Amino acid sequence: MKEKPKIYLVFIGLSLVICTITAAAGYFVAKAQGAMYGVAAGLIISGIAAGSLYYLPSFFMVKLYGGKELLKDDSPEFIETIEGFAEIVKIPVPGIYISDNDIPLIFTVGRDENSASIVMTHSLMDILSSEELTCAIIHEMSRIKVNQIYWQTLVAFIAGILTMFSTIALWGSLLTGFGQKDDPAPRMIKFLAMALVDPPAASLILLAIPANRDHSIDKTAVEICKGPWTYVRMLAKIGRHFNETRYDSMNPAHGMLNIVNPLPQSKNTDDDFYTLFKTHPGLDERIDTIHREWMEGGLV
Amino acid sequence: MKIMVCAREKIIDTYESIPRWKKTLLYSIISHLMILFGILVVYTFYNKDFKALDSIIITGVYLGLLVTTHTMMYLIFKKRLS
Repeated sequence: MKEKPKIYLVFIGLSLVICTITAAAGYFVAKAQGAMYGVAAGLIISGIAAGSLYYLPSFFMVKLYGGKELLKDDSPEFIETIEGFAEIVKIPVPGIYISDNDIPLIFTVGRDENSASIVMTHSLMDILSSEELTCAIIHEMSRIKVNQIYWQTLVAFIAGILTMFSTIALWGSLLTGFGQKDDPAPRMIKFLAMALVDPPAASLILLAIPANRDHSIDKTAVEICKGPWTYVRMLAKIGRHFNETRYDSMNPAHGMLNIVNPLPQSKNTDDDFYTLFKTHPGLDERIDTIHREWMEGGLV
Repeated sequence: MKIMVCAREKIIDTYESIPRWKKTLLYSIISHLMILFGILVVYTFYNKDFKALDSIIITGVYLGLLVTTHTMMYLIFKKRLS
């Protein structure tokens, strides 16, 4: 299903649920007249909720990762390069946000291609060469081109709020005297909180994000990059970095936004929950598919 | 003693062979059962009396919802993660 009809269906479903609850509450208080007022209140609340869910997620995600907009005055050459890519990909020029986050991330958020924002971190820029960074940006622009950004932003926003509960539980336990971060009690409390919220959040993501999403984006990006070599090197480099370095501060629900899965995949019991958020295909499989499709395209 | 060691190894092997997503569902059920226990404790303290019928109703509704949601999650994970 295309993105727009899915979004309308979600908003209509949400409005129906809210109106039913408020109408039932109104009927309980003042019978038929109360139900009428309940429906009216439900419609107003639905309007506010739909507006918030439409405008807030991308703003929230950029702020959460501390993204600062890169203006043309800050780096004219880089912005001109981005404008050039946007012209090649045939999309409006997206906003570029740079974050100081220590996790090498690049992801796109927004409502549609006119309001898309690409967020990238300094750590990603440190580990990639300029050609590889170009490929990563083209990957994100391909994502904008296939028009998948609002749906994934909305899902990451909702699931991300759910999964934040485990971090809140950890901090709650630390601040109420259960011990230090690595002590057994706070770790167990965090584990139990993760057990409560991570499976529903992961189910939401797996339901909403199709399994072949990355294949179609990779294919478009490789065509624009005019070859898979630098693109594959970029994927392998980021994947290797995540294998070597563990980032516990990553919100697992936001992992699906990144170009490569950034979540730890060790055999620790703590990492069992991260395996639920596996929306990217395995890196080897992904690279094989890119090479195979490129060879089959008859362009080598 | 040897039997104990063998049994322990057997249990560990069985546990290790379970897919990770299934283990997370198991942890999730345990966590939710702890919440149910908390709800029953709070309800009993609030009423200053243990009401068996009320507790059975709360448990029944809670477990019904728990089984439904976890069955749905099981099907989603089985389709996408196995």
